Amino acid sequence: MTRWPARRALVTGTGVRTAVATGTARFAAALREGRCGIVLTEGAGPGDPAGLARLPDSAEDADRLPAELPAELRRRARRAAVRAPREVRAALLTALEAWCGAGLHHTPVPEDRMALVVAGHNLTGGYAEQVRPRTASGRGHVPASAALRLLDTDHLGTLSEVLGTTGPGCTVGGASASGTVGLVSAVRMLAMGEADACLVVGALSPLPPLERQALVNLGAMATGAAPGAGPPGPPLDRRARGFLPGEGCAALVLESPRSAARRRVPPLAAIEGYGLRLGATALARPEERIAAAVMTEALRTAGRKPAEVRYVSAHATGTPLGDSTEAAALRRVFGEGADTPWVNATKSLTGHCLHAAGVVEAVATVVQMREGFVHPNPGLTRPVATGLRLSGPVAESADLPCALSNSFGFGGIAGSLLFSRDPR
Amino acid sequence: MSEHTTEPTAEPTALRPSGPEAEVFEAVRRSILEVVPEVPADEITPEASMVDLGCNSVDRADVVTLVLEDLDLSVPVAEFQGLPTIGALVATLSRHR
Repeated sequence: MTRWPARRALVTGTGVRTAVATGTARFAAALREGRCGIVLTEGAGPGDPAGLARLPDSAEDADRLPAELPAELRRRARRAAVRAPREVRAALLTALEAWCGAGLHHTPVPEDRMALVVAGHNLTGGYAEQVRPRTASGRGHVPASAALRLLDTDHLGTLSEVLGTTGPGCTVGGASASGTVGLVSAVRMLAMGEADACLVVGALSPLPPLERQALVNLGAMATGAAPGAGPPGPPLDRRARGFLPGEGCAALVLESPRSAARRRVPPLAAIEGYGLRLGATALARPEERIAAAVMTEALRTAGRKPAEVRYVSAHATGTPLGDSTEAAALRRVFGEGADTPWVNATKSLTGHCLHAAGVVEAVATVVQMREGFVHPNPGLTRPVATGLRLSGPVAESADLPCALSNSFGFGGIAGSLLFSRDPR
Repeated sequence: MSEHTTEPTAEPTALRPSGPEAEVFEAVRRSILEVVPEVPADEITPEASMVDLGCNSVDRADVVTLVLEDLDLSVPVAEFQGLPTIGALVATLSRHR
């Protein structure tokens, strides 16, 4: 049997911006206290989204760059951030946190050995909404830069220009599994020896009116209350009736053990294995068999037994079928009872960060492993399934040497990453 | 740059176009500051070139489009390629008014 290169990479830097917090340290504190960034929309009807977790960002964020940035990098970053559309600015600022966290600003990886992956697609719909009115006059007043800005690769070009990287790079798509697919792509590049390190950015996903309404009509998004109904329940709760969108962006620096050792950068954690599969469907329907298969594949490629996994960051968006299917897959892989891993839904706090979700939740997994806790599932009182060890209204202290993070996207895309706190 | 900021020059506005071209120059200046906000406003003179002010090719095309929108003109952007100075851009725009 062919032996593939090891599916592993070290995590040497993290960055995150969500509705609950900006910056990894503040994000860790927010997770521990179970802070929820979702704000329900007053007066939302049955045809309107029930709420949103909004990223409290602004153009002035370009002036709040990491203090440790060298002057020239700061100048380039500020210049790019001021001019960029909101989504690209968020990607850049988040990437800089991970960049500095990994010490790349003072102990670089050779520029041609530094890879970039931007996880997500259809990232420019918000910008397109802003520019579209300029076609209305019919007098051609569309900015030339829109030809670049309307491409998802604007993220990639901007990051590469500011950070001065010339290694391989691409955008990677996988619907709501984009973040996890992006991390897998980075692990592959490192395993194939194409780069020494890779910055993966889960991009802020705009939700322009067209997409928003289609998701409402599909029944995927939680909508305002019908008369007599209460507010939507959180993910993994029987009262959930769809996902609540969250604005968020996250970044991870993945690195080969040799490069991290050469740079003397201590790893925060490692990705030791993964599973990535399709479900032979074009629909939004989740498949228990495939969800279980990616978790099993992640365990197998990491050489881990199910009993070693102490925590699962569930995809758990709040869609009733998705949540119950994932719960069934978890029971299939881990069994039932007190000895099964802790399970929580980070989307209950951040909202569903769509394309960025896999990277946001990778950061959440790493900080919970490192700080030894499982964040609460606020408001989860009527679980979709029995037999899962769901965290409750407050954080649980827990020793988490090994964890899984799941992502499932429309079109049957399923992924699971196995994280280890103490890289072997 | 320091010359511009420290030397008490006589009348910076004396260098600027007067008459109908003044309005066009102001529109160009506004557009440059919108596209490249980091450029010091007093460095935008008819003698300066946008390249010297740090505008790349895409920036320069964006400046032209913004000015055209501002002045409500419809001229193919290609007509503005290769103009050496901001003054030349102002002159070309003025011809189309």
